[in-house]
Amino acid sequence: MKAAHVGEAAARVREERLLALDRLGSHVRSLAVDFVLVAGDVFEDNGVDRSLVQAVADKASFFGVPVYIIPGNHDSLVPGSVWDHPAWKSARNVHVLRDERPVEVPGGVLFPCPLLAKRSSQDPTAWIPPGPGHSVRIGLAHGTVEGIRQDEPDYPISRQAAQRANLDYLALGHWHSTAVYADGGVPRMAYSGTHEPTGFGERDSGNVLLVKINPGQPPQIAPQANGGLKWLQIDDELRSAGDLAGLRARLEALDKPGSTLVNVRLFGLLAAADREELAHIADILKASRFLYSRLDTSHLYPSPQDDTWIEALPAGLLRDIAARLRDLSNPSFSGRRPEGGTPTVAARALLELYAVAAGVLR
Amino acid sequence: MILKSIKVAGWRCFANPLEIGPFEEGINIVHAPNATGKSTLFDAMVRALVDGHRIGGRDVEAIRPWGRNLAPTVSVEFTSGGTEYRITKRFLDRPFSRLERQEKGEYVPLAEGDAADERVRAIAMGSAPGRGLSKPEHWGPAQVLWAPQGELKLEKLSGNLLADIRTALGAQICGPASRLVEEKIDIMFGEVYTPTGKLKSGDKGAPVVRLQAALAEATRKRDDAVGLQVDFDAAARRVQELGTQRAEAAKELARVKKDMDEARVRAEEYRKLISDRDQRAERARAAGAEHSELRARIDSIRSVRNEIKNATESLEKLVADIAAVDQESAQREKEAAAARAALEELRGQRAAVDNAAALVNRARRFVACAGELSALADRLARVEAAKKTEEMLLKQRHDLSAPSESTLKAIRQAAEDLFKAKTSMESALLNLEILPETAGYLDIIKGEGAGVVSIEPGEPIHIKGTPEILVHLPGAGRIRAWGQAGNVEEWRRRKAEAEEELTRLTWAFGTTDVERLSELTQQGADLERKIGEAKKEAEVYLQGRTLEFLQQEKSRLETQLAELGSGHPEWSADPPDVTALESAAKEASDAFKVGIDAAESRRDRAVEAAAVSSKNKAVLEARREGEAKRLLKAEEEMSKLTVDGRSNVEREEELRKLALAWDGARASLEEAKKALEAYKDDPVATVQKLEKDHDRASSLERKLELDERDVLRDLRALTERGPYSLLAAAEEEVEKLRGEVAMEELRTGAIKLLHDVVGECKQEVLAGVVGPVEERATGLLRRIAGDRLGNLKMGMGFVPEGVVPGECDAPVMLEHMSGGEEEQVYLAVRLALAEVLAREERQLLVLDDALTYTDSYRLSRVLKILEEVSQHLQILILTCDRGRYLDLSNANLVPLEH
Repeated sequence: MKAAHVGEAAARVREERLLALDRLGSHVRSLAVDFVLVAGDVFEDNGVDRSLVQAVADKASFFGVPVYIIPGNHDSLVPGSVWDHPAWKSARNVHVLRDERPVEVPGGVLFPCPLLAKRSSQDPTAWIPPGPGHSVRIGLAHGTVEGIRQDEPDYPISRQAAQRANLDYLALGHWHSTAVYADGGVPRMAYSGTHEPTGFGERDSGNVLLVKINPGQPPQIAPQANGGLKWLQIDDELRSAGDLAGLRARLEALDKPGSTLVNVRLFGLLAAADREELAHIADILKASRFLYSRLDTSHLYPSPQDDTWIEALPAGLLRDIAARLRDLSNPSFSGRRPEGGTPTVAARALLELYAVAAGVLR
Repeated sequence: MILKSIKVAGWRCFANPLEIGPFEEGINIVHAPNATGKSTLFDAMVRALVDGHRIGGRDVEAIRPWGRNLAPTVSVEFTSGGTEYRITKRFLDRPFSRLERQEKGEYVPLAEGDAADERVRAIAMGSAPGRGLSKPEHWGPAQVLWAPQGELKLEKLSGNLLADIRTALGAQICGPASRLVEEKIDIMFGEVYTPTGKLKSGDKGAPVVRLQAALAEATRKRDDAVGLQVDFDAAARRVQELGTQRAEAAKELARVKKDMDEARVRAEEYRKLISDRDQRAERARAAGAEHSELRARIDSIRSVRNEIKNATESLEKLVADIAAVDQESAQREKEAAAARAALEELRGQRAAVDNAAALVNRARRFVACAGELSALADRLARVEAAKKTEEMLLKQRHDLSAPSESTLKAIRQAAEDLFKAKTSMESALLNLEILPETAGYLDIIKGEGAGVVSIEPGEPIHIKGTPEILVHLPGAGRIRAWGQAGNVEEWRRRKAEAEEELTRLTWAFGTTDVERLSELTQQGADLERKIGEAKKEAEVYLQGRTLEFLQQEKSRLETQLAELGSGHPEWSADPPDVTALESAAKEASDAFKVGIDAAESRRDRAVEAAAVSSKNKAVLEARREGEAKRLLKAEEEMSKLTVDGRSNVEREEELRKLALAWDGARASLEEAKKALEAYKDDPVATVQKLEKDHDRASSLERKLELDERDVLRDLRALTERGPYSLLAAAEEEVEKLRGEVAMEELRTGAIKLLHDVVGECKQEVLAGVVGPVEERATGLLRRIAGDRLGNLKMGMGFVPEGVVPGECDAPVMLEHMSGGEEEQVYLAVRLALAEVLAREERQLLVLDDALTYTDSYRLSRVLKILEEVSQHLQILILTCDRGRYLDLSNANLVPLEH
């Protein structure tokens, strides 16, 4: 289980994913569901530590209702897969569905579409026969619904898959954010998304879906928040002095910082007057309020039109140095650059100069 | 720093304590004769202010007075920053160091031992030497301010001093804030980089280096984890592949086994048919053999019988033929003997033919010898004639007296010289012509032909002379002629020499006429040419031989001719006709050869006929013997073939019965063969092939099963290690470190760039500072040496590089200057730098016997300058010649007296 490269917070992120299973169990019990469907990619890879497999199976065994799982593309059913682990046999309520064969479930029939390889251009739901609608028919598949941009076909699933197979509902897995698709005008297929957010940039992850199905009627799909951590990606472009004040206020206003991961990326031109504000933001992010924080200013350059960068320093040598560094930090500067004097390095050097000068002049 | 006094004891030449001072803040001149310790004082001051008191070694031992066990001791009183200090040091024996500070009019100890050394060194801005005595590079500002004896030249300023000078100069430009910022940046830089700009390594190294090392290690671990994950995926794929392959192999094995079982049944039936066919074939073969054997016996009896009959007939005929051949052979032998006798008779005629040939040869040699003798006589006659002509011409040449070409050339030259001398002499003489009107006499007083001559009216008289002509003409007076005449005597001498030379050259030829002499020379040349031609003609006929040789050759030919003509006296008058003799000899020879050839041919034919007849007889005898043996052998064979005792009829009947039995056996064999032909392949071979296929398929299936088991075991082992979890953790570590490295690299790079930019900017500022020092030094130099040396050129290290005189574009190096000018340049630079160093506090300038090459005129200018700079500097001059500094009116003269 990879933790999206968040340094020291990785252990907490992993822990939170297992805790999210406990929260899911609480939902199962409080909502009195008949069974749980897991549409693949329970694990990121078949090579995960077997103790993790055991822990997941143990937690699922406490749900108290049948749990139906299909192998996804990350944990496909191949020799040596996680599904060979004996924990699945001992968890009696957990059913790993290994064949494309209808399975009787409480109140209906389940058509599982387990994946036997990491990649394929075949629609995994293609095998489901369009049978009669005497009982509730549910599909359980893992793949990419047509229309989602992808470099090459990756278990493509037709948008009409549910209608074609005469399914009441098609539970989908693969993508991390919740998404519901209307098939024939009726929302009958949906990605629940991951039960716990896994990284920055995820639109709507950390949910599970409560689906109520009555024969002959459209399913009722209700997302239930299940995530424990908040992943916040902030990309701000600075254009004028004072732009950073809003960012600082936003960061200060965030609640549950201990469960929040923040990645701030700043672009554009930094006014000399905002130098202290930037230092303040850096301090806020460094002060360990947040579970994880990162501030990237490598694309932030001193504003070449802002002469206060120079005038703020005593006349003489320091101004010469500041002016030289400001020139070098301008990406369009065409003069001689010393070795290693890239705009990014020069911008940082200018900030270092100010930090030193501030200490001396204070 | 201002020097107040120096006290030494037990120091080189100062065995007794000596104190010198107090010194004034202006100019001080310590004067004393050579070798009285001026430089020793300077040395003691340096040791007191810079060196540690614990130093040892040979150099330090050398400061102890010769032959004395005294501990060198020095005490220096000085002022720095408005405070008075006294440093006292003893070296070598029980060394100590004590620094005192004057407080309320008394010296109070401030530091002792190493601390005192360090403290006084800090005041003097010097640095500790590594080992041994300090050198100028440890002296700090004193490198510039103190010039030891003979070391006025500035080689290279140490880093600290350079920084001090630059600091002093740049302080006004950079300002205190800049200096503090620069110091902090230097500290930041020093925490990360070495002085040479390389990242620091080790425990206290740059964080980026540690992070990069950690990243490299994490990357290695990540790569190991990737390898493990790849192995895991590959093992999983391999298990899958092997499973598929094993299923296919099992299917193939089942198919091959079914085919093999069917083929085995068929092969058994085939083997039985083969056995039956082989038995029938054996029976047929035995019947055939019996029939063939009898058939062969009957055929042999018939053949041998015919052989006996033929041999008998042939033997009889051969006996008759041998008798006829015997008779013919005797006749042929007789004919051969007759032919041999006829040939021998004809061969007796060969002597007459040989004699005719010898006569032809003798006649041919006689004719040739006669011709050769005639030609030789003609050559001899021509040679003798040419010799005679040569002798006659030689006599004529001997009689002719003519000059050679070279002599003639010398005669011509002498004649020309004579002519030129005559002409020139004539030109050099004055001419006087008198045309008398009456008769009388003329007295030539001066001129050629001096004396009295008579004169006649109308007859002009010519007189020549030089340098004047003086004549007396009675009744008329004296006439004197003069003018510009040449050197007649010289030309007269040359004329006499030319005449003498001409006479010497021509007396032998009886004439001095050059044309006649030229003709004689030509005549001589013609005669010599003809003599040469006659000689050449004789040589042509001699053809390299001598005349005597030709005459001897003629005698030999005459003798040979007489020998050849002996027996044929008529050949002397009438030479023999060789052609007719050859023709006659050839006819006789041809006739003899024809007769011999015919006789030999006849003999050969007769002999050959006799041989053939004899050979025929031998052949017939051999054939008769062979036929007799053949008959005997056939009779023996017949006895063997008929040993069964049966008749021919009985044998034919038996043969018929055997033929019927053989036909029956062959028919049975054909039936068996037809049964086997129903099989299109070899069922036994098919079984063997299928058995091999079965073994292969079985082995493959077994192998795949074992392989699958092995790979599955590996896969389980890999699974237990959780390769993906390891990889995920390793990647997270790599990414974490990568981010930290990037941030630290950015910070480290920024510090370096900041440091470099500070350096560059400061360098640019200071580049503008060197100018004023250079300008000040140039001004001082011009005041000392005038404008001739032009502008002084200094490097960034404040060391003079040369001067640029007005007429030059490039600087003139200092080593190309005179000793005096060179020391003046260095003095100017030292003074300019000393002024800089003394901006904040008066400093001590020491000149130990400097300016020894400077003339008194320039020295007086230097002294004026020293008086001026003494406003900011305390100047201590050590000299052995006090007189050179007498112009310094305000100087404090300090005699050095022991």
